[in-house]
Amino acid sequence: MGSTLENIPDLVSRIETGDSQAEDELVRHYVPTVRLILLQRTRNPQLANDLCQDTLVIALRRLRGGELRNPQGLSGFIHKIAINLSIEHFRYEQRFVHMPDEIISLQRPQSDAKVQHIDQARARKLINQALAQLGVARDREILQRYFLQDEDKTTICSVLDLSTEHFDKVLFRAKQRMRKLIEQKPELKSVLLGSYLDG
Amino acid sequence: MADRIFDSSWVDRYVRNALSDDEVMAFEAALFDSQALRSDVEAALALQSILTLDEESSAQARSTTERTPRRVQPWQPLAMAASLLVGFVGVAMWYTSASQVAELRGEITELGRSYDDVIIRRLDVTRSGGASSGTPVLKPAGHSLLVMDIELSPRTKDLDHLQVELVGDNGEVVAGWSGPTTDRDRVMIGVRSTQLDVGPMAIEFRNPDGAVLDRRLLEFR
Repeated sequence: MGSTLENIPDLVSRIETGDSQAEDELVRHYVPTVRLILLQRTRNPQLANDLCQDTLVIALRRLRGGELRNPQGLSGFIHKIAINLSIEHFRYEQRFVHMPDEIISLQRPQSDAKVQHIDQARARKLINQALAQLGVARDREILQRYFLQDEDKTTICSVLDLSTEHFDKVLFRAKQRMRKLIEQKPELKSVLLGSYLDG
Repeated sequence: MADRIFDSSWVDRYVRNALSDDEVMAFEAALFDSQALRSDVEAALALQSILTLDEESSAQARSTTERTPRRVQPWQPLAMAASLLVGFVGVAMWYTSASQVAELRGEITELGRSYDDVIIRRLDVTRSGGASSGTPVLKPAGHSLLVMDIELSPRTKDLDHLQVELVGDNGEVVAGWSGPTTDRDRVMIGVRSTQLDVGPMAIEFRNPDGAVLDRRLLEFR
């Protein structure tokens, strides 16, 4: 995921002179991180893709215009654009104004080409396989309380009469298994998190 | 270096939205420099996503068992859970008020995919002849969502809980919904355009025991 950038000042300088290869390098390097940040902020893979694309378009336009004075601050520069776009998106999200029988057009028509290629049965199988990796029902309850119900570790351990070591073990094991699964099964990652190739 | 500072507890707090604004900024800045940290965040987000699916699926299964001891349809246990599976099986949404359009938008966002268009169609009871019949409904083109805003008939509007099925001309159930009613006498249901064929279909309204109380004929064009 993401290429390495050897010489950032040189890259920025090349982008300023209109070098399209340099622009490609920048996009390849930053897409994974920018999209991940936007995915966490929006919880919507398609929206994250769109905002990621917008972020890089704006960044490139501004870089071409020589707006980045300190090339070493390139990541911070792109990070800030991404955050501002996500904030702006939610601020101006009033996209649905409707009257009965009226056609409502979304701001950004989107498609999810990658997901469409994963058929229903395959997706269900992947999900079931992943669920099976989460351990017994009690482990799932621990994870659900922690990740979905915002309960803290102390509360969960107290309510379920667990040691903190056991809690840590369940959490660690589940994350490790999930990490391995999504590394081994790109389709599962696409189902759960969307794909960089979407849209 | 970032890996040493931002350990797994930071990753968990990040995906659980438990970091302060300053902490989020610092953590995200570190993500730019660390592939390992990105992988940890992806794993945690994937775990959260799968837990959400599991919880929704369990809740739906419980709801189906408790509320519908009648016939079991193959699509039912999956209907609501599948709506979270990025719309693989189809959209199964339940709305009790036309004013909940903001909620509709939120639901669509949660599905993880957007639609080219959303078409809302009112389907009212024909006063003179009881239930309306043969009401033509525009079938949305492409990847769209058709939301039917349906007026309940006198036989169904007093029920606390209602089940609705969209049935094809051949008797096959295309989609199903289940949910509470309100005193507003209307429900809104959503169906993906790709689930629909052109031609006649019917919407069947059932009570929790499975008895058909009302049937509306539709024609998709």
